[in-house]
Amino acid sequence: MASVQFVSATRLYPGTHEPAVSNLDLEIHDGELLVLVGPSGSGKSTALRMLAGLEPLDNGAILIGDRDVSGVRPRDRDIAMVFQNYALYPQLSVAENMGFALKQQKVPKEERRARVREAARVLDLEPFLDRKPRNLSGGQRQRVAMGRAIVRKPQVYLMDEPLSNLDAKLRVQTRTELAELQARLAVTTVYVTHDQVEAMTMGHRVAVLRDGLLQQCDTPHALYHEPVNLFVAGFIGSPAMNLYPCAFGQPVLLGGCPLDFDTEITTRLTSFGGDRLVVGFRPEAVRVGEGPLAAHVRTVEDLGSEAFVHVAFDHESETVSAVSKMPAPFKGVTGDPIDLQITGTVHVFDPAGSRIATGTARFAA
Amino acid sequence: MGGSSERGVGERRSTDVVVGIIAWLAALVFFFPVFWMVISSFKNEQDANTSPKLFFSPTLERYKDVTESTTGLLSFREAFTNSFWIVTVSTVVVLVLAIPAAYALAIRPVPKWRDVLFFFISTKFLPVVAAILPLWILARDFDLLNTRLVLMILYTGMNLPLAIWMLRSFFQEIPRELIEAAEIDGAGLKGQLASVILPIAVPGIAATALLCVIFAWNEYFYAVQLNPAGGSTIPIWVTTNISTRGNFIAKLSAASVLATLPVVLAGWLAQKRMIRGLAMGAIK
Amino acid sequence: MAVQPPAWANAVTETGRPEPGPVPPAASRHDELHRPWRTRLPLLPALVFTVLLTQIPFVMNIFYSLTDWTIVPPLPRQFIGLDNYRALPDDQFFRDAARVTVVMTVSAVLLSLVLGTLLAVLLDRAFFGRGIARTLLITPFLIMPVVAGLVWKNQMLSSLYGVVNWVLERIGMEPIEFVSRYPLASIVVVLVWQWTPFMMLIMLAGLQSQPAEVLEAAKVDGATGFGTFRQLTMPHLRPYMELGTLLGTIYLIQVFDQVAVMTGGGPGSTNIPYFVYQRSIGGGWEFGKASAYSIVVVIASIIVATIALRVLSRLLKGEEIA
Repeated sequence: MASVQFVSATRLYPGTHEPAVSNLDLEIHDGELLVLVGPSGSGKSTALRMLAGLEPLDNGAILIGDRDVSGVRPRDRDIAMVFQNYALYPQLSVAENMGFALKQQKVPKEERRARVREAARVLDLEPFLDRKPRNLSGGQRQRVAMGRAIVRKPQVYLMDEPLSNLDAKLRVQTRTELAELQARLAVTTVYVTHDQVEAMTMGHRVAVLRDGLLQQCDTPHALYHEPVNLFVAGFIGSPAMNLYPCAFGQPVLLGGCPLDFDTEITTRLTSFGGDRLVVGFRPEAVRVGEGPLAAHVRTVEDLGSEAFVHVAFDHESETVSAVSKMPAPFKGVTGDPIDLQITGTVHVFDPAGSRIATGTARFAA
Repeated sequence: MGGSSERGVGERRSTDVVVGIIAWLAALVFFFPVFWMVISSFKNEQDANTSPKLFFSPTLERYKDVTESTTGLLSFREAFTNSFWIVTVSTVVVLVLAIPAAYALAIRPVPKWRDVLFFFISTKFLPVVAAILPLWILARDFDLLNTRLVLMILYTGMNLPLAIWMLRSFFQEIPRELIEAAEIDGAGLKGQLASVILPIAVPGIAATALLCVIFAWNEYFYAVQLNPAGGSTIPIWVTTNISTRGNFIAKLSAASVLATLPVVLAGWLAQKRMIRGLAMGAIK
Repeated sequence: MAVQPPAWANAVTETGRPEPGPVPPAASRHDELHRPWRTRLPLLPALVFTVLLTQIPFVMNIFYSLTDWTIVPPLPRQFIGLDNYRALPDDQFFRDAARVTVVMTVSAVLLSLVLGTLLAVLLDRAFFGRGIARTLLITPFLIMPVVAGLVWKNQMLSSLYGVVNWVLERIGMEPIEFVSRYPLASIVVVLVWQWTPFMMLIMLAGLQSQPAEVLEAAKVDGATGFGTFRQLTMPHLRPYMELGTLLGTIYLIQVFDQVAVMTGGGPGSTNIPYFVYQRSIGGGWEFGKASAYSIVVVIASIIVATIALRVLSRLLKGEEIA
């Protein structure tokens, strides 16, 4: 059990100009499950592989506990890894796969078998111990990959999109099992995924990466309610936040309707020097039905427990859309005229990206 | 794809250097006889028939000697022309026969395709020497002795099993969906071949063709048994440069270089393809 | 799976073409009647060609083996039944040739396989000038076998001017007449020299087909380089080794050129191909006997082949699962 630290860690692939991972500063607490999330190409997998020792560092350092492991071989780092495509040893049985690392450490056979059996019990793999990977289903293989990691008692677990090859239903189910398992084992875990729902539900903290740069590392709650920039705001949350570039005037007009900001936002805006800004609010912060802003319904996604209503209106001589979360069932069909009113939190962003202020606002009549 | 190519984190640099040194030593040792043969070809017979020398005054005389045509004896030009045509035609025919056969074994497998494949391979288990007598008699009866045609036929038969094996494996690499799409679009055998299979399998076909060329060009036994007096090929020509009187090593080296050059160059240039070919064509 | 063509597909107009209507599904063209022939058709040319070319001589061989046919002296050919076969087990020369063949083939295949694997392991790592080293290493395989035999006999192993003996003298040893004193070994050296690159290429293909992720997992799990090779890479390479052995054996059993050119069948170096050659068109002109030898060899080869078939079908069955 140990903490993990990335100190200005950088990786630049030979022949490229932009680093895959750029000056990453990240601290992962002992026993924490930290999720690295971001779109493809964000550097999250590279960062994980740097921690594993499968990618070298071009700059900076990585520490496990107090130990600088930057130049240390993977096998000497005391880590266990679950690969995206599982990377099971094809010629070995499930039991041999799971016991492989222990065998390398020269753990005596009896103890090895006991530990493998224990892990197999936890993961429901006991009936499959003698099978070869090619005779297993995807879900079973995934569990063997997990078992291979659990059997060891390393300082850190590394997981590279372990659920992305599972079908949707299995993924949701395994997600909770995994989170419970991690809580029980209390081993520091670094978990990579591109799925922000997965990130939000699993991690104690989530680190959002984009183009090799760390955007924000915070609890899911903070990421959702206090995104540090436009990218995080748009990336976290499903459906995505409604975002609108607007001219900074007195008042700010959205869809032709003046916005009434609260004092929190207004105060912050007094020192704003730009002439444009971005206004954002989440689907649950906007209501359709009655209100000052006229729009019409595009589609209605009725999920049974709630409905997401997609509407369209004109803003700055373009047609833009908004998503509103409404209780189900929703009475309205494509083409119906409908009005909007903001009811919840509003964020204001600098067009360059950073968040200026958060508060409430409404459309004035 | 796979393989442990790059040095990993924490691995000592010296391992790379040691590996490189051993590999280069092995490469030089393996290449040495070829190197020696080449430099001997530039020596005069005196230099070639004494203790091994690395330094001498090079000459092209030996090349002149072996390529001069002498009436009554097999000339380089004649042997080269024969070899060229025999190898080219037989390789083309092999491909023409093997491609549809591979199709029938890989893409739309006939029932009992394994048995058929085994039959083809088994024909290579039968010693060439066992067949030579009946073949010689048949060739004589059909007036095919000392002609190019007889070797074209035989080399085709010789390379066909290998070609079928390799092409079958290559065709198996082709994604099913592409073939199914072509079939839905109405393409039959010819259409599927033209639009889907051949374009994708070109490297494999090239590798197969190269192997056929190598084996056919280098073949000696059938050639010397059936065509000693006509339609003679390069391997036969090389052996005529051994004489019982006087020294011949330099001349033989020159002849050897000329004989092996085409195939060596082809192999060097197509090296990567051949590796891919043997790799994919072999297993899978 | 026969699919009955729908009734309207059979409707034919006067011109003999089916009535225009909804396009019949493709399956109806592949009903039981047509399918086997359609799929077999592309195979036929190659199959017919091979059968004619290989089976006719085989049958002729069987016929000749049942006679006492010789050319010198040119006696009339008489049918003698199985006499040639009966004489075989007593023929010391045949037994010697069989022994030589086994020794030659097994040692050449094994040595080139081991060397080829070692070289492949070396070439799998990146080092300076790897491409050139590989080019040099594959060259022996491209060299004409007769040329290889001649170069090694006259220039490498020669007791007069050979390079190997020159090296031996430099380190204080006496020159050795390799080809005269160790004919079989000399031939095997040339065979290994020529076939190691072939094995190397196959094993290199095997090494490079290992998924990188699996090797990374082994690194993380604590395996040393050697441990990974022993526990994971070797099992992965097994089908490649089997293939190399299979193909190598097929070709090396048939070796003729090097024997002819290096020793001319001198003591202890005559293998079966050269032996049969000697007995028939190489001077013996005993066609009846030679044919009997050939048939015996064919039968032995079939036995070997059946064993090899089991190897093959395991290879091929692997495809079904993969």
